Amino acid sequence: MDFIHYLLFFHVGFGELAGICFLIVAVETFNRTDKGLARAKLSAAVGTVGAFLSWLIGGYYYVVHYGTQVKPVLISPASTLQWAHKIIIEYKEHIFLFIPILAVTALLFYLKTARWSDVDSKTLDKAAYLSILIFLMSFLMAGLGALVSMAARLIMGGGV
Amino acid sequence: MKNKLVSAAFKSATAYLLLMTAVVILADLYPPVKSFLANLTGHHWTAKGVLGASLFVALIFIFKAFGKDEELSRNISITIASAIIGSLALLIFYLAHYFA
Repeated sequence: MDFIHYLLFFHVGFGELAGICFLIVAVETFNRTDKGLARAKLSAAVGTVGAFLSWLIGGYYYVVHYGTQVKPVLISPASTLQWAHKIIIEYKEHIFLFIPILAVTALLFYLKTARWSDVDSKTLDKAAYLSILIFLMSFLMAGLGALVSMAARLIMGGGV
Repeated sequence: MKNKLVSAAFKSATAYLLLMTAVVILADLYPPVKSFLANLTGHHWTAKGVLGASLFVALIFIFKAFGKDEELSRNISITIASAIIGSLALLIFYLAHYFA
């Protein structure tokens, strides 16, 4: 594998790890078992680190490689798949900026929660919905990234 | 539950989400804004990330220092709504921009 493939592998991998971690946080929050809070805190911490690593690695790939190797092909006048950049990537690159901030906010909430009983059930349910939103946004990023990869492969052939 | 730091974090996140949405749309509508951002860090996307994250951290301290010890439930709802509104606004903007 080339360096660019490692970047994509770890960008997607850490992003999906973040999504799965926040799904675990949501499940633990809805269940509210005695040991579940520790698992929720750990999952939120790992998910937040994953979101930031995915941001940094994906950002490096986007700024250094995507803009010079993939974008010119997708938006060239001959391309029939210009939407892959002009809609999908433009949308994805900016929604991506939302996820780490939401993750660190959710993490602060869980770190400051000493016991489930300290928080009323309405607030806990909303914290769980926030975690579900982070999970859905993370996998939306994965799906949109797959669409763009498919578009690039259709134009350039395999290996991207 | 009341906690000043967490409440400040949710308010900062809400401000960040709405401001980021506005800046992204503004930068695409007015090229000088995008050029200004690109000149700051070499790429407009990097500038949005660095400035946005800095603003988020700064706002946490400001809201914590001057904010009230409010119930978290409402703040979480507003943050979730802001994330959904921002996501939908950007999707509609890029769809409209492409098909215009």
